Amino acid sequence: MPKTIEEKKAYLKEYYVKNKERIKEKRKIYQTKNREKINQQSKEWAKKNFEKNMDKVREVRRLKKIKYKAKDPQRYNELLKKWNLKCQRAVVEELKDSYVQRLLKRHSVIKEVPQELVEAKRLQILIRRFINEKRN
Amino acid sequence: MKNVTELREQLSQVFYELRNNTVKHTDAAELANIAGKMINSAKVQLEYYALRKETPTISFLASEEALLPRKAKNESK
Repeated sequence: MPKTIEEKKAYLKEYYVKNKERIKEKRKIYQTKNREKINQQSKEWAKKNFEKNMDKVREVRRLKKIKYKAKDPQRYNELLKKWNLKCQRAVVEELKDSYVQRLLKRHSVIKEVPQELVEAKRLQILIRRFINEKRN
Repeated sequence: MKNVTELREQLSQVFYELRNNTVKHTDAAELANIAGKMINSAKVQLEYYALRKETPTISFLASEEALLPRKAKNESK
């Protein structure tokens, strides 16, 4: 039996090389049987370690983007347009700060709007929308 | 309503009452309309000072805490 860590590592490597195909097959069977469980575990892990691996994740996403764009640029542009439209709609529906600030800055020279004013405006729009919904 | 925080509180109360059907929606619409006017007047004031390149404290926009004298602030802490 191996005693030191290095010996153990060497032993495990040797074992893996010898039984490579059998181990892979076993792993495949396990993965097909427990796909949902594995997916959930990986999602949880990604959520937990998102901040830790943020740079890595960003890099992977960037590379994926480039790859996808090179593969089918037309489809990429279509999807990007759809995504942007979805985001813009969400900003308007959820009355995010950026949207309310945009409303207040429209036709004026103000560069910075106080947060208190933004919140008051948001409430006013909320009431107006609620009343319009009721009327219709 | 002396400042924007009070206006906000009032508006949130109106919205809450509107959802519970304790206020007529015509009354709520009027209140929202007045609130819009007040917000716009504050905006005009901001614009005026922006054009004059001045940065005074606007009492309507400053919250109550900011308007309190420093001694009173320290005492409250």
